[in-house]
Amino acid sequence: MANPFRKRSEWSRYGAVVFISIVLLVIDSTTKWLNGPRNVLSIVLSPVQALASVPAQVGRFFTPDLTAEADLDIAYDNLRNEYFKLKSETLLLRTLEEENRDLRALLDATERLQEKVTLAELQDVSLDRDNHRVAIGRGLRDGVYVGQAVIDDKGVIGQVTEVMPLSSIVVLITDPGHALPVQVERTGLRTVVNGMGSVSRLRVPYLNQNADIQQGDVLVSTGMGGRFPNGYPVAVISEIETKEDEAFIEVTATPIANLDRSNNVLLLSREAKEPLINDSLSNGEPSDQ
Amino acid sequence: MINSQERPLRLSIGVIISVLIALVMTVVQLPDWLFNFWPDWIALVIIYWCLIKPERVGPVVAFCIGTLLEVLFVRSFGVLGLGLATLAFIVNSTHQQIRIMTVWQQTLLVGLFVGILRLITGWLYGIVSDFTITSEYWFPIIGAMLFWPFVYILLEELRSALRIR
Repeated sequence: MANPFRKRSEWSRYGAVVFISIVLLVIDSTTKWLNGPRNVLSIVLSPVQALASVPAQVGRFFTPDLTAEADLDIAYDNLRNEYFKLKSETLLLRTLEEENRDLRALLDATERLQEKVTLAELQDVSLDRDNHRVAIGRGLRDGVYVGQAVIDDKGVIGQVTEVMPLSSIVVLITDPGHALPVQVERTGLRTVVNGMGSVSRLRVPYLNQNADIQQGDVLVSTGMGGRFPNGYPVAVISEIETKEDEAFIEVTATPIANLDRSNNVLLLSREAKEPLINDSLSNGEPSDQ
Repeated sequence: MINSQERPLRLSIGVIISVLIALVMTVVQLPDWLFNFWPDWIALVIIYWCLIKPERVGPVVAFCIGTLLEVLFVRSFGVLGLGLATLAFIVNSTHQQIRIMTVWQQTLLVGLFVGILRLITGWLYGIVSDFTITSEYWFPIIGAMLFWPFVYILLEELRSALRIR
């Protein structure tokens, strides 16, 4: 069918679509006008999202039933032991916290900001290969805000980049576009970790040949970017490669948090203006007034 | 008469089912090494429908699917729409030649098409956000080529089950 009219209408349709895409692209990359429609559409599409996560949820539903009792016993014992260990450590922590506050008062230092913790569940649309992002089940409704730090029970996971009414998007520290100011716990050396697109590797750039760093060093967050509170473990140095004639050494680190395995994450909020909802837990001592 | 009225409905059911399955396959959790080769299922599905029903499934449908994906995956608007529309357009305009090819020749072409799609989207993401194309970015082309025969056979099954002609 070499119908010239048909050909022309094909071209014009394609041209129209290309034009619309480019307009969308420009609008979306320069303004925030499209966030509203996007939110509306995302609510409309949330059944699809739920449908897409059904296979994973079915798998998770059956795994506990299929684990052997012996395994459960071991898991129970482990949890029990860990519980008592943590409990005793918490007791110690209270006295330390008190001491710390007194010392800070002596030094006239500012009070450390209290952090509120909100539990959030991962909705498992594990988004993309090139963008390391996850969706969590807390949104605008729960007082989530852009820039909020997200951790799990081991360490830092990432930060909130997009807040939708019922869910929000967290960019992981392993995202190629993410950088996080950290400090080497052993020496206090300040540096940055960059994501490189692999879930198990982070890059520590710009370290001099004579930087005091070794394998196994723990990197903790500094409060510097203003996003993450300080002192949370981020990564462990896993590999140091020195190259002759290069100004910097190549350092690789492994994230401490279970980036690809944890189902529950914690949202840290700095100022906690909104009253937190039912299953949020409050971290830190109530201050004596 | 009745049949010709029913067909568009059946076709859209077929497209929706296959896109949903592709979506589930896209977001399924996988080990790292396999994930690197995981093909763009949506692209394969769109290639198939543009090949079989070029007069119904074209750039406009592909653009709509791409935009929906961008909402679901929270990517910047317009990139996937443009890439998938271009893919649909290429397949549409060459469907007569591709249809008479053997599966192996088709496989090579599918690799080329997915490569073009990834090139376009990679460039555009590079422009609108700080995204760099790494060598791993190209691995899914191999995955797409490996999976194309199976996708083709399964979608043919779906098509005959829904009696789309």
